[in-house]
Amino acid sequence: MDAIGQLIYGFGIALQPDNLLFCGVGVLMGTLVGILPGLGPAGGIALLMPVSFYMTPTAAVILLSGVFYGSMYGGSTTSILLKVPGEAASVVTVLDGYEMAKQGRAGPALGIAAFASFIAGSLGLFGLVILAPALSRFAIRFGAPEYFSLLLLAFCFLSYLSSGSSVKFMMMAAVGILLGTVGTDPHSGYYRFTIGTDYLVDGFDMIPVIMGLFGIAEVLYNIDVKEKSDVLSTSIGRLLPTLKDWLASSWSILRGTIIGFFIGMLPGGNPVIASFASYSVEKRFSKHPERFGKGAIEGVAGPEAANNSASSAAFIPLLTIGIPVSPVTALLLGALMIHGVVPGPSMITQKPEVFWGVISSMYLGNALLLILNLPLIGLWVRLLRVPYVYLSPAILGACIIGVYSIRNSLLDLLVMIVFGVTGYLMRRVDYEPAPLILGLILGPILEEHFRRSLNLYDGNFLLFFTRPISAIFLIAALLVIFFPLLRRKHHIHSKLEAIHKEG
Amino acid sequence: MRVDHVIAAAFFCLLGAVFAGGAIMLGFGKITQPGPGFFPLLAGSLLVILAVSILWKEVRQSAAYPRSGALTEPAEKRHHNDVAITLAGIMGFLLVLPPLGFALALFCLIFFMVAWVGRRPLIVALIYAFSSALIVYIVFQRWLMIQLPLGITEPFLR
Repeated sequence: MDAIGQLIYGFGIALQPDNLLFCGVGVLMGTLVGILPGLGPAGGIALLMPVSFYMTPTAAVILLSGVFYGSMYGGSTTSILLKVPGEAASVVTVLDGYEMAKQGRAGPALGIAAFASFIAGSLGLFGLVILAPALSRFAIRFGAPEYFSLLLLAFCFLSYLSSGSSVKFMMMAAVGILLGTVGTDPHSGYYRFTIGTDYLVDGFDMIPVIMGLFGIAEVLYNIDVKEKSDVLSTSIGRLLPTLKDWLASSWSILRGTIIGFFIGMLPGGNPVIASFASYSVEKRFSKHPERFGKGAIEGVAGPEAANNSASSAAFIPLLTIGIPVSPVTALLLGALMIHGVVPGPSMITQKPEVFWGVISSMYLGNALLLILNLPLIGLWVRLLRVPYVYLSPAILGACIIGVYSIRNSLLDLLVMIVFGVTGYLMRRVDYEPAPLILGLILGPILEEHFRRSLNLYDGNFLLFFTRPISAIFLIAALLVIFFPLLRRKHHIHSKLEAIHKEG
Repeated sequence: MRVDHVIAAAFFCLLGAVFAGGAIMLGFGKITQPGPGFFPLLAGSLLVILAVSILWKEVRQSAAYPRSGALTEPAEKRHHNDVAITLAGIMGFLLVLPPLGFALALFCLIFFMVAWVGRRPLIVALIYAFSSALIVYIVFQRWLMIQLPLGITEPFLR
């Protein structure tokens, strides 16, 4: 079957009533987590993961991926109306979106953000349909050494591109990898770090850790800080952009889509970086760059297109190679694995209903987001006015139910609370929880590929460098690690020379 | 010197050392045939090295800027007491969950949080907690058929 034929097959799966329902629930939940500052797509996925246990793998992934790209829509609403990005990828939308709202143009800002997201998401899916099978055929050549090297590269890229300190990112990743080693060693059968308890024989369950770090920790942090945000008192007005708005935004949307698509596919590339890159490009290409930061509609259209396109493109390496490019896609990987679906080159042939069903549902989800979100903007605005004192118990309750329903274990709740407190304390000293989750999910896979490589190739360490694809990934990883150090050294040298010349 | 950052880095250094020590006891194996302790030793050692680098950076910055005010972030108003009370409420929930059942325990937790932490009128807290617990019971226990403990409410809710 060619790609178009398989896409039609996928639509047949996605349009089944229960899958369509879960798609709708997922995107609405995603919009909600995007709107509510503090929860984020990772938290939203974590909250729905236990519920997804009762679904088929296809429905589960449709639901959870809906949360991911739905949050891109929701984040722009708070950026424009509240000057607070509901989701990290909408940070840059604040710059011009809020200014537009202050000028009484909240409606067009919200409207162009929604349309740009829809167009970019749809085009991104088109690219996914074209590239995914091709990448899948290429990835068949990957063996354990290539997977190990690629995962290492992904860690290095994510660390380099992280918003905070790279060192702290790697520390948290190391902690996650260490936590991932807890349990029974699959090769030798030895118990590792189980401290004599049966609970840890199978290792840490992902869900309590995620709920703790993203749900409980977030609630505790928001209770601690109690930031007050006022919704801008302006009428939303007409949501449909005018012809002038479209003429001003169309090239921005196209550029944002392309930028977001290519960045989203890369390990370490994520919607946040894509939106920033798009904003920089728009400002550079604009004939009047001084308008940016003062309500330029291109400053909303481009980044919103980029972050949505990136979220579509992130599924390419996830589904075709089984490599998540960000902590959120690592959660989706975890969800797939829980349902017994191993993403990778063989997924297209072995689980076509999951693969094509999810891709087709993303198009439907984007359409649902556009159709539902514009009329529901009034509701989202009212939701923003709900005091956090009522939201926090609801989030806590959802976390507790989610964790407890897995195996009715009080120990799971205790683990969630421990990680919740840990996550809260970590946030206070600027350590992000996302890399820990990345390490927890990917660490065992990294170790498995490493040990399998050495077992299969008689312990020959050089194989990582003699196999061409693996060598490329490893060299790239080394460059990512050492390039910033070299740049810093060069920068210091230049400064010293300048001081010397002045002296 | 930012004391909280130093404590955090020291904690992670200790954590890495504990894991590395445990990994050595598990058995490193051979480089060509890694044992169960190989990867934890690598990750633990990396954590120790990175944590020490953070500690070193904090100490150097403290020496370069001896006045602590230079590194002090502007004081934000914090509500540590509310965080502690919330945690106490959650731990209390764990204790009362088996005897009271999920719905009633959740009612108590939400009431506690809205009334005490949120400082809302008791009647508002009561209504909100009751509605939330009822919704949870109907959606999760009745509709989704998720098995949650009933406790003392069993005669009424079964």
